[in-house]
Amino acid sequence: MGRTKSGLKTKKARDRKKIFILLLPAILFTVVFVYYPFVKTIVNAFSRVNAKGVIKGFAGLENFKYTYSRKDFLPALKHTLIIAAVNVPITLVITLSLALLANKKRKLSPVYETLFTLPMSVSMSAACMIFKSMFSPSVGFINYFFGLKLGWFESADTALATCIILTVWMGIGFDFLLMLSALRGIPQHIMEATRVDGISAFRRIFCVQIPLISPTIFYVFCTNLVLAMMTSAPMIIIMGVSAESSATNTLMSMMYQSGFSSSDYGLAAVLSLTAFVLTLGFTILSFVFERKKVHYQ
Amino acid sequence: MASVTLKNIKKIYPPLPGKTKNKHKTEESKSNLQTTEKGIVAVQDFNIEIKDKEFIVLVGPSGCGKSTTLRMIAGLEEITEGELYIGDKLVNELEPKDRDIAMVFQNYALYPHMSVYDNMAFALKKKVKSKEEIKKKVMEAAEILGITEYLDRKPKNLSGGQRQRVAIGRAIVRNPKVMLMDEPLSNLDAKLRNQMRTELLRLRKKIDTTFVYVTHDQTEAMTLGDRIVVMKDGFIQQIGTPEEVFNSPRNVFVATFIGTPQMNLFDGTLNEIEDGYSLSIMGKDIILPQEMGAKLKEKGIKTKNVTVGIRPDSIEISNFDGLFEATIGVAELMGTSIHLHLEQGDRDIIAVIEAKDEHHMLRTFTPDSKIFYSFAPESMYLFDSETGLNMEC
Repeated sequence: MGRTKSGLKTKKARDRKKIFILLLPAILFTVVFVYYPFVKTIVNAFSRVNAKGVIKGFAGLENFKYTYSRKDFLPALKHTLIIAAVNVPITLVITLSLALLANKKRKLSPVYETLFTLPMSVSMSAACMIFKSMFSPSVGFINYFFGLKLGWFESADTALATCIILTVWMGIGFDFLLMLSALRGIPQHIMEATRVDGISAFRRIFCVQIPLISPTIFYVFCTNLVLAMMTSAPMIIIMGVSAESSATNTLMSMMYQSGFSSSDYGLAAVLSLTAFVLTLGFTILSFVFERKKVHYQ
Repeated sequence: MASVTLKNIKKIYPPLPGKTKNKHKTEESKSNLQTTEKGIVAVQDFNIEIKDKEFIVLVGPSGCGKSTTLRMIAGLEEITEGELYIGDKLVNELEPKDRDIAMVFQNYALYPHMSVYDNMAFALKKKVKSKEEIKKKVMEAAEILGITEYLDRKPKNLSGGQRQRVAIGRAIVRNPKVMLMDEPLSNLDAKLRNQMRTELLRLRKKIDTTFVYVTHDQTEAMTLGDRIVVMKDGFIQQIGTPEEVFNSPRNVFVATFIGTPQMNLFDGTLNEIEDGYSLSIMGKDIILPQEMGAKLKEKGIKTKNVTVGIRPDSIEISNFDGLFEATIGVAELMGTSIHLHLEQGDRDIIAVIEAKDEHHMLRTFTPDSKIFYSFAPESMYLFDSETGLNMEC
């Protein structure tokens, strides 16, 4: 009896060891690249950090006061919220509409499915460069083709809108794919039931299809929200440091500039913490909404 | 509340694009369906006039085209050739919603995010009816089906039988001209299936409409149908009342498909003799009854190879003497009857015996022991060996 018990114990211990060893790479990775920077950011936010990144003492709320009283903070916050508020619904509507159009399998389905999904395969920086040249006011294809005279990136009025066009376009591919597979995942007989019951296309979409794919819509909504809150690439790559760049600054691009260009680590830490708290708040809010409106089968 | 007429209805599925010829061939051989240049023929020249308020059951093994036929009536499947009338109206080109039909699907096809009430009311709302009217209709249907208590529940909180009731409820609230049912009971367990079958019979009396019911279960077909359509490989094998199909099956397929356990088949040779016919079967000669002989004589038959069919309950068992000798394989006690499997050479013969004195009987049926069996000549069915057709029809 005692022997089997101790035998069991050693087996359990061995199993535990095995589990730990197998998990180690993943744990190491997350600790080094996720949790350490996260904690470090929080610590930095409350400390006096010099240009080399060395902590020189406790700062209390000084960094926060400094950040929030800066002239460029409020515009950056405003831009971030605008991007999230515009980007998320537009992406949802576009991808859902495309998916509804592409839902039925036709001969040419693979062609336009690929076409819609293509933006996925383009890297963000390449896309930024392509958009920059396409939207160039002087030599750009867009102004030429549509006979427009807009300043796009180079005008403070339209710069933010242009950035949103780019981020929406980048997001469409993957989200379209998610929506399409969700729509196609609705059991065929349910769609046939709507046909026999004579349900109009409008009610079919809004009373059957959308509720049935609501888990996917919710997923797309949440991931898009987080991505939109973290938007920075177009601002950094396209706008760079220009006269108009203040018209598109977001919390993240401001953080990038303060952290990497000006080595103001305290400022950078506070900005990323602010963005984090905001995103977390929105996500929690959307989960509250989810309980009421999202239907899981 | 309308008749349904199918005239030379055909369904041909075009060959699937992108599939290699080889793969296609294996599919054909699996299903035995005829293939033409246009593609695979799933339903061939389907002709029937379904009367108003009639209950028609389409029955056959899987892949026989029964569901395809039903889906063509529903409008979910395009009709390749032929004409379909509901009432006097040609409906080939009409959308399902314009055909005034309702359909109950095998997997219920309930809207999972809606309550039972909403599921039933959903299709009614389009007709701009007042809320009270919708409520009245739903409550009526719920009353008939006994689901009033579940109206607030979602489908996932219902059992299979309850879900099926909701599906039927959703169909009957619309008061359709034709009610289509695609294997509605096959997702239920055996006990529930029997129960629902009886309920369907009761329901039928309450809702006066035309039914087209698809099943692969011959018991459902026999008990529910006013008339049965037996199908195989896209062809109608026989249309008739349950009695007709059971008592005078048109061919070997119908004879073996309808009735459990299956009809026993023997090979035999028919010979004309002085005043009638004799049938030689496994080395024994049986004189055919006068009546049977007269029918054969009319057809001018002299000698012929035939397939002889005998229903299991027509076989008589004896321990002492009989026409044929066999050994006992297995005896299955089914409650009121015993299914006795007999082995004669490499032949398996099933006899159904009443289990009146079951203790005595079961004990006597020791496997591998000898037993005699015989059957009355009147109980035989004769089929042409080549065509498979019933020779008495």
